[in-house]
Amino acid sequence: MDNRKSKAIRLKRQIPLFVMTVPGLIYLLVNNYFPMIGIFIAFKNIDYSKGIWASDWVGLDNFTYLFSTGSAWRITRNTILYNIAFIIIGTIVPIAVGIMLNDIRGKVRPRLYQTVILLPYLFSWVIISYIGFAFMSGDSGWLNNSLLPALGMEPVQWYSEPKVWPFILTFVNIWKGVGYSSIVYLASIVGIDKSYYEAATVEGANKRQQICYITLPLLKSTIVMLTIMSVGRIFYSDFGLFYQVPMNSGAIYETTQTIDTYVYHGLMELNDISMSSAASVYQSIVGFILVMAANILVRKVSPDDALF
Amino acid sequence: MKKAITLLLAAAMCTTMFASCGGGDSSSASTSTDTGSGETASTGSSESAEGGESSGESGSLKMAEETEIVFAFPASGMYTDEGLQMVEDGVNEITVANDNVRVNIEAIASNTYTNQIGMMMAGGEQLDVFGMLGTYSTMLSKNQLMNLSPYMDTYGQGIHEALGDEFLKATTNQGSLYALPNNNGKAAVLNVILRTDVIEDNNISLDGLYQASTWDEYMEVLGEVGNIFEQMKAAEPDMYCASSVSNSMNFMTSMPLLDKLNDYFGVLMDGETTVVNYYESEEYAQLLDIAHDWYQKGYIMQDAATTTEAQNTYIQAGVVMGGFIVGEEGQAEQITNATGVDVTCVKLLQPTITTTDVNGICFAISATSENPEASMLWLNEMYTNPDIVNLLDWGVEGVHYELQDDGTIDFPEGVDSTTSSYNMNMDWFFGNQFLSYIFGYGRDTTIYSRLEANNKNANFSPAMGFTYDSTVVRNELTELSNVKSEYGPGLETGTTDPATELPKFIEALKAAGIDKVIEEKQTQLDAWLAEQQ
Repeated sequence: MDNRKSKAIRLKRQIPLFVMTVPGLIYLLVNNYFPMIGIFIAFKNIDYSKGIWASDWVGLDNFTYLFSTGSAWRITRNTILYNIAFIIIGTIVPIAVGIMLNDIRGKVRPRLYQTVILLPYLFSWVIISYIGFAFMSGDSGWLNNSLLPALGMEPVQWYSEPKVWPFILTFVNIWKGVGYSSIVYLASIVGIDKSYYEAATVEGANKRQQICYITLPLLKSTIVMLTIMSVGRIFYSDFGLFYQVPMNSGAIYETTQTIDTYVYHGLMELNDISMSSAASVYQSIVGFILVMAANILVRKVSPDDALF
Repeated sequence: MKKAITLLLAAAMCTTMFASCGGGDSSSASTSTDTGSGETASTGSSESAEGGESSGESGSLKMAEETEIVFAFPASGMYTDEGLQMVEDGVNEITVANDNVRVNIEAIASNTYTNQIGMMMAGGEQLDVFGMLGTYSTMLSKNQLMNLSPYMDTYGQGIHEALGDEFLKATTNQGSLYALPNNNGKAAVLNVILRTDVIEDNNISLDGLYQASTWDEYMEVLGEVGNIFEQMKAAEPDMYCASSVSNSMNFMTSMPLLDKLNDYFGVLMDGETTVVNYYESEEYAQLLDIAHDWYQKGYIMQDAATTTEAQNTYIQAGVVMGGFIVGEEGQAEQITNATGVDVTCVKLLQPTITTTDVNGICFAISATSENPEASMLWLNEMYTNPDIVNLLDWGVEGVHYELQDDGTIDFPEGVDSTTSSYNMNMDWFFGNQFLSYIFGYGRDTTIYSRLEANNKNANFSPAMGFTYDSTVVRNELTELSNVKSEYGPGLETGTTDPATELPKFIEALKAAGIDKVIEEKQTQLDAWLAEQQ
């Protein structure tokens, strides 16, 4: 009886909080749930004179091009491998940067470093692609015209050399994203109770031991949560990164083409919204399955860190 | 479970925060495209349906009741809402009096245009007449276009007279007319662009250039272009002779009597009616050798395969002193106007007019339109009434342009291209270009008569009027487009060596199913040819 009463009181107290979330929930519903009705476009052959609802059902016809063609393996492989690299490196580097930022003392310097590291995150991909072009262009690029000759090396045709692009794209992506992710980790690190570190110092733990036995274990749930979220996007690729940064150069498709850029190229001229819908339905479903699987796995290993 | 709820709530809160920033531009975007159509959708459609019927019965060339229609086009020029409104008012003054039709003009940004049109149709928004840039065949296969034949004779008589029978074939499918090609110079051919000062300062002779009509002549002409490039490069070693257009050299995709059949995956060569693989042909290989040779000699810009800059940008910046362009008369003038660099253009081929040359720009009535009669009357005005054409092309007389003493028009006192509220500059687009004024004081006013003459004298492809339906091979085309953008730019700018890359390209095309596309095209073409007999 008592228990139920206190529950009721607690619920009552939470009413303002629920009210505060209502606009957000409505937005989520309108923006993320209602458009899901559009999924059926992927299973139809759109005929505008009949209208979308009355168009013919074609089953999985719109999906076949994602699997039947010669590029299917290549685009799937590239998308997944890049995302795995981004998840791993994109976790390690920001944590390292976050820990370092946390240890910078003074008033001006921490802010200065944070701003400088964050700056690339605010650039659009088009600007970044031109920064890249300024380095790697054959006619006027800094690498080919200044750096490599000075080192006595042969110029490299960057935009037609598939081998170098996995490194360039990973580097550019991390360089752009590290500022933002490190702030997320920094926020968690700042939230760690200082008394842990004081106690550790008293016991004679050095910096490395403090990081390994205090900071990282306490960051674990943040890391797990962010990783599960990125696993859900493993079938997506950042169009700006994979289309703009390599300047859409055909000669390096072997290592730069992903599901998104393939769909863009293939359907730009076909004007077929069913096929492009099919691609994103495919990406979402795989993403959904992976998020569920990752979460089940986490729940088995360490139930406290699971998302749901 | 609790965690999940917390997370969801947190996400919900986050989205509200972001909603305020993201919402700003999405709402402004929708208002700008919706302008005016909101009212029309509610009032226009019910009224106009009646209007259409009653006038259909009476058979007069005027709507019985005032009918509102929506006309959309891809806007590539500069304008303000105010300027567009002035044009719309000017248009309506004429159309309400002549046809009892009120036109809502919707200028849609050209980069999102095709999607917007699809959205308007799918979303039940009113859309009656719209222009198309190269999307005729895909829109036809999606049933986005209304059959115009029932309305053409009654309401579009003037259009028929202006265009003639031959051009209307390009937008006819199985005996029914689905769109109207615009009336402009269709006989576009390959031109070489050369910087006039470099040519004149070094006394480089252009006498060897002429319009080739056979393959051997074309090889001779390109050889001559190579000689000219050699002399130019020797005189100006710091400049390149050519950049690229969409990562290809235009001479790679042109040859005498070529019909690319929409997409180059299966073409007609030498005026034959057998569909062949362009990329596997002897001729293509020869052109690649020329490109590669020029690239190695430093005539072609090193970044040609990757750059996304426009050719004009490089001409303006003095990076290149020439290049290629596919176009009709007056190319040199346009480039000089745009870049401030004096250039000379010489045509290198005899024109062969193909279906896509004609229907590249065309106008159609939406399959969802409830006002086909009023729409046809509006189209008729656009092809026959110089006042309408000039309003759409140049704006309002006295505000946006003024008549000059030499028969051209130009900006009025105190107005220029940056301050004009309607500087659409799309005379090449709207309806009948031959009814338009020529903009720019001192410009050649005989140009339209020459364009008309070229249209009449050009060769026509044997498949002129044939449009193929790509639906059954769409999976193959998706892959082929990707294969082409993988190998095409490198080869067609001469950057990669055709000796090693061309066989790979051909193999990749075969793996992607080019043979199936060619077979399908041949089947459809044979059926079409049989129908024409």
